[in-house]
Amino acid sequence: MKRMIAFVLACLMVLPLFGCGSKAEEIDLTNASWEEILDTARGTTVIFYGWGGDENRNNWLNTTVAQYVKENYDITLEVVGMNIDDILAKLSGEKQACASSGSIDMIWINGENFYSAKENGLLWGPFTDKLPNMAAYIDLEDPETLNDFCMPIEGFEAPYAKAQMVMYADTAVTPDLPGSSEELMAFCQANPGKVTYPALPDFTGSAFVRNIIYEICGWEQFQTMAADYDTVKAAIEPALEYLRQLNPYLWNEGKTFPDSSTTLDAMFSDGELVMNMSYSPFTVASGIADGIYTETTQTFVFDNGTIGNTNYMAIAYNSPNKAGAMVVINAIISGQIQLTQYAQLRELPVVATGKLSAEELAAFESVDLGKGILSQAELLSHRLPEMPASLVPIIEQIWLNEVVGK
Amino acid sequence: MKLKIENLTAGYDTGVVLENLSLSLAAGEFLSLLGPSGCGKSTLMKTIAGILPAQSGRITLDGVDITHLPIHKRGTVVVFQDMRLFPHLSVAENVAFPLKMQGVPKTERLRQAQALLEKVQMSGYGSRKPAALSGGQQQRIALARALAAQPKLLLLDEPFSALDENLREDMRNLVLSLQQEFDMTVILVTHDREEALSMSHRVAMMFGGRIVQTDTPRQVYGAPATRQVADYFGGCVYLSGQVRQGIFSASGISCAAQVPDGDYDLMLRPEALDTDCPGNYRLTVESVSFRGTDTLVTFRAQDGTLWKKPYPACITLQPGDAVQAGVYLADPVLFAQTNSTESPLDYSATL
Amino acid sequence: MRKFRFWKLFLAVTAFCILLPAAQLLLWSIAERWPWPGLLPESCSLRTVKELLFGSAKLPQLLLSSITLGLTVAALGTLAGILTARATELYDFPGKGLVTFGAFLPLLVPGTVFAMGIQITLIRLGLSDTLAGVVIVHLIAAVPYCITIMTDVTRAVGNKLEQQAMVLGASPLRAFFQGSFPQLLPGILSSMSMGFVLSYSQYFTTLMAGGGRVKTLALVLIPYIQSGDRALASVYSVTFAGSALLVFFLFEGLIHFIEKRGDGA
Repeated sequence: MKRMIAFVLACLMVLPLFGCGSKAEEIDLTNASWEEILDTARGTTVIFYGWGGDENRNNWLNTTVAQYVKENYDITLEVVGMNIDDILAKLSGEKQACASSGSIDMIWINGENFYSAKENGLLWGPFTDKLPNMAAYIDLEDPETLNDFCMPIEGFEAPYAKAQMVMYADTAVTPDLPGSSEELMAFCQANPGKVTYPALPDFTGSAFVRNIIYEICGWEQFQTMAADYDTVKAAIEPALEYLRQLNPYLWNEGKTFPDSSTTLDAMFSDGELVMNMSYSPFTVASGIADGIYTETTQTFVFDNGTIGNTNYMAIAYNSPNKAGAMVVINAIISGQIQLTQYAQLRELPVVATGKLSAEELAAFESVDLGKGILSQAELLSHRLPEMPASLVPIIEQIWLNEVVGK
Repeated sequence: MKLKIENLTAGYDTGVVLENLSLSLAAGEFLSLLGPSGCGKSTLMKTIAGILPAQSGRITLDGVDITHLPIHKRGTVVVFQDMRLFPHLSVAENVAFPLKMQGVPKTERLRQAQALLEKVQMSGYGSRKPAALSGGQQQRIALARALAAQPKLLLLDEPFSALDENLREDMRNLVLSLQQEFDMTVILVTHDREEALSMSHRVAMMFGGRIVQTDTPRQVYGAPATRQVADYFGGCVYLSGQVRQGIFSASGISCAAQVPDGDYDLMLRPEALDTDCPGNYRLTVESVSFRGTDTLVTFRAQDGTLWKKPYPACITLQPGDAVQAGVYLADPVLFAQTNSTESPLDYSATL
Repeated sequence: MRKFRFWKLFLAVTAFCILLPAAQLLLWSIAERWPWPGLLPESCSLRTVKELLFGSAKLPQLLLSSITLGLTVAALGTLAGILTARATELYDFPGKGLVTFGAFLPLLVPGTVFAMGIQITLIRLGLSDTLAGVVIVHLIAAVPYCITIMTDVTRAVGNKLEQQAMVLGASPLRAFFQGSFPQLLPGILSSMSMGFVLSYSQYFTTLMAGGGRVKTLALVLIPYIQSGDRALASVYSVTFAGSALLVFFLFEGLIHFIEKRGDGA
């Protein structure tokens, strides 16, 4: 008898798992004024999800930014480290479970991930038009404000930091740094087996290949190219030929490539490779300061320029505190916070120099980031836009078919 | 103290073992449950103790219906064959355990435990651990522990079968003296005939889940109710004969019998054969085997019946000797002959 | 004699294979540059140690919450193990085979697959991103091991001592604690250790069930390993392994203490 009751109870416990919950009430944020938004956000907590592998950024968010929003807006900022794939998986799981109020407010996102998240209704917006600092600090005409990997943003994400592809080497080992694809070929011939790039589809490796494509094939034609395998292959054929010719001088003769940029970092600092690459343009300064790179390491770019992109902040569709998220995002795109990001994290700011006051400009220029890097002006003057996101996986596939081991 | 079992049915998932069993015990009585392995005596003991639930029937102890009471509330205490002393407690703590369950404070219960240890002649062993004791010593502790629980009914489940021959005698005496001192009602479950007969006020013979005969030891031995009971004590000899007008006769033996006319088997034990006093019963010595404490002489009677009788070692009988013996026939036990072709059951092999 | 020497050699080689990487890990924690083929790092610093102790991850709180979570899962898992073991070993009931099989299901399903699926269930139950949800998910991972350990021990101990305690006047619960429990103790501590380690090293399940809100040491450690900062990853790994070992040693000490008390007068 007792056992029957226990069994029935166990079965009953399973019932609440079926079906969706009820919808929560929402303040009308689309029509609220900025003051109303600030008021709603006062005293609340905002949770920011993003990649947690950079301890400097974690510290910056948890101290500088958190203090700033607490003092100025009485908002508690909580930072959670999670890979973007896991974040999106979590959101889509919540969507599937009809969770109208989730646990994510802000997301650090860009590129393909942004595109799929937006298409799948995982993001809330548009919201950037409501942020006063968008108009105050951001160049609204900049293609990188309007498009993310050539996809329209439409106000669903705000700029966070800029990135640009750079390469670097130890001048004590290799005094002459290449400035073009031809010089790169000569460089590899002079240092056989000591240069390589991460296997695609690693983010950095993919960017390196795109940079080579831009070097050899030019960049304009790709901005409006159709996402068709054969079209793209025909267009990048010269670059593919170049890469195939490069293979014999690469590490392991181009038969295999390291699995990720992380591995490349290790190989470079261990001296196995003489050249490395990164999306963080000032990474060499951080590396030298941390003692990971030698003092003579130097950053360089191609004379024709290297690819730059922006990464962004978005708001989850079921964020329980959209008002708070907007306030924090607004704070992060302010000149003050962008300055701290520049100084403490050595990241390119998103603010437009034309919109900064004289004081703010002076503050930026007085920051000494350290050794072995190129200045912001130099970087920005050698900056090329990204390709449309839809072309990226196609190029990666072509590379796998046409370059590896050939 | 006073136990009454009415129409008890109990068993396991594999099947019912006891069916409509009834038994009564007076206060202060020592009863043995005697029977071969698998006869259900352990099942009955477990049902009385509550370890096995009764499927139907009633068990009353001192007027209180304990049939559905949980084990720890019945007042029945079991001493198991494997003694089951708590390995992590000292000897004194083991003995004091029931007192601890009753809520007796520590000093008092240890004092009582010490007194009980003296009763079982294990005074100095209080601080030892059970693992350091021999089998016999452990059994004493188990007994003392059971006593500490002040049982209304003490159940002993074949407690001596794990002990050496020499120890068993001592333990039996100890149990008997304790039983008398504390005037306990005791049920001893055993398959050892000598044990049951020597210790008990009454013996309950169990076969196949039924109690076949409950009587004093002398009665059970001398006046068995069935062949099964008779055969259990071994060495029976059956003489086939007939009863005509109150006289039973077979193979040159006759005696008075108050039973209806018919074919009967007369049950005789080896003690009934008297080779010193000449009689009409003719036998030949078939074999003589020296067994240390006695000599077993095997006779064959004229009608082919085999007798096995122990003699003192100095007996001079030799195989082939012809003997004319008398047979004691006071209180003859007669069993009606059945049509079954069963051979007399031999329980001597079972231990 | 020869067999003995071979055995010693084998042990020595095994110990070397375990201790050498461990020593390397310690060195990496304080290394700055360590290019091949140097046997020792070129330069060292305490950057990572400072980051560990004073960084934004708040190490003492993190350790406390991770260890507490681990111990909770260990205790609950062991309880489930004890009860399940009792049910399967001491009782007979319809569907017993199903229970035994069901206890092993978590071992058959890969952790990542399970974590993705359980997330939806937790959301529906309102337990996503909560500590309770994480405890449940860790329990599901740990329970098969606890059940296995407790089944073996329960089978060995049986219920004989409990029966004896009950006839001597102990209620069923008291009979368990007075009779069987002391005999089960080594198995219980084994199960606790196992449950603790399993919970402590969970990454993906904690991430999915806790939504990143429930912070454990493993959760902070893995991204640093992925990021390629080898020194920082090493120092966190050392902390992780060291704290787990500490708890292990505490359990071992407990077992020895109890056994010693058992053998004494």
